[in-house]
Amino acid sequence: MLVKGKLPDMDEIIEEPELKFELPNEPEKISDIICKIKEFLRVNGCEDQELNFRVELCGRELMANALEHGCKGKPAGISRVDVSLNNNINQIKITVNDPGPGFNYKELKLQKMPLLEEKGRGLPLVFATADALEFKNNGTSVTIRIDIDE
Amino acid sequence: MNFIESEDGILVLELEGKLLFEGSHEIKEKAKEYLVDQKVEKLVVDLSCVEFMDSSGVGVLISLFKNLRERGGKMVLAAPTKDVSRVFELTMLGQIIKIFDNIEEAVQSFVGEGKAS
Repeated sequence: MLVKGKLPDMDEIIEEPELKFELPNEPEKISDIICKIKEFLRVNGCEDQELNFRVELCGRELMANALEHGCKGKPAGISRVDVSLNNNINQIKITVNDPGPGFNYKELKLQKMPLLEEKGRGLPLVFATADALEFKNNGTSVTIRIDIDE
Repeated sequence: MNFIESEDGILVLELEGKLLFEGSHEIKEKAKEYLVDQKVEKLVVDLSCVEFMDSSGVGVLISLFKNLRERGGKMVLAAPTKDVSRVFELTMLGQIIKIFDNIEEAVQSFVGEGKAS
């Protein structure tokens, strides 16, 4: 279910992700993947502080959610992270698939940011930061699109 | 993570690097243990060396803020960097915790207050 923005234009143009990662259930590995994504953007001429901020924030939140919820109780759980960049239409797409049972994402209140709670800000932050957000496969697959300013 | 005693019983907690999902639980527990053991009632969190923070990092700050508040203390934030300020704006953290541009202003906000209220 698409909850924000549009994604199909990316799907039509890019068949396969340009970067693929396997994220083991080890939180410290998130930073390694973020570094590789930022390097990929830099090499492709997309080095921009605003873009880096949005990619790092959304990427970290999606991967942290995948480990915290999708790999819960699975010491050997593996999440898959796919990244695509299309310079022609200035968009980057990140998909994170987790091995968990999923959740009812339709009950999420993505536009409501928790204030005094210690948790629950991750997906509202992604919703506020990405240009498009889509859940698939019972919430085990989350895709975001970030537009690149020219 | 460093704790520095300032004037008038004010403690400055210096954080550095990135405050993230990975490692946030450990930082939170160590900081809370120190704050309770030392009976800290006035805390300034110095963020000038924190280059990035995710929602777990914000959760750490909320946890410390609530810990102080439950014990009758107060906590303020100081000198957030550009990316950290963006996260604070997106999470509306400023509605809960006072944020100062620099350490001096943050410390000064406690001076002359006496016991935290």
